[in-house]
Amino acid sequence: MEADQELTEVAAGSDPAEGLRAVRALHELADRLEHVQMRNARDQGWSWQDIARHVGVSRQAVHHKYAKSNRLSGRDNRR
Amino acid sequence: MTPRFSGDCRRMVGRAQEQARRLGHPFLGTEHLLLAVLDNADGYTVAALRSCGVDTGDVRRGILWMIGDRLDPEALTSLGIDLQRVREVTEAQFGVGALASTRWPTPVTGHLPLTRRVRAVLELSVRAARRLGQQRITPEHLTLGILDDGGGIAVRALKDAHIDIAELRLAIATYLQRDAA
Repeated sequence: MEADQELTEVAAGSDPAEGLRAVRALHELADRLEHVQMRNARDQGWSWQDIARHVGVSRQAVHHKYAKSNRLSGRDNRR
Repeated sequence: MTPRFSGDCRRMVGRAQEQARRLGHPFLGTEHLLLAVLDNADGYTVAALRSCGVDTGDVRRGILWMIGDRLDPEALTSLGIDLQRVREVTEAQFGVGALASTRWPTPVTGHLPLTRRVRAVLELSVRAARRLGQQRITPEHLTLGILDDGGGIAVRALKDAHIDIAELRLAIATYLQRDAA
């Protein structure tokens, strides 16, 4: 509940500097976590189509964003 | 006799390696050394910075900003998100550095190569110990090495935080001499 209150005060608050900073931080964290889970999915053999369905975007969109990344394409999967 | 690196100093370099891996960097730079030094709350460098009225958090944020790490723990806390907790959970599942910036192409593991500047810093920390007539190279000598080198992201972050490098160097050298006496 306390977190909800803070969210209202900051991300939806009247100070643009605070609000934008919070939103940017959230974007960045979401982006990192998306990468982690994309890689996880690819490591587990998911197709771009499978991933796209769960992310809620087109296969092309997912492929465009991630296929060039060595971390995800499987070409250099050194784990 | 050539001064030798103390266990504390070796552990500090190890923690710097950890910082680099966590950020997903495939090398060890002065920024990682300084991040490790700043994390060591019991160390004299942190005490010296505080006595100069410096917020070590500012220096840390300056480094992270410069190297393009845009994760912002404070802003996330304001949203009720505990970044440290998110990091722990993610790293427990996917390994250290899982949450690193995606700018670096491959995940990094193992011992990271030192940048040329870090090699110079280590050499300068040996010289600093020798100059002070000391046999053991401590983490504080490492800080002196960073300051004596005078370049790299670490020193830039210190200068950005309005730290007087000469004053800090003097404070640490004085502490080391007092400590040895």
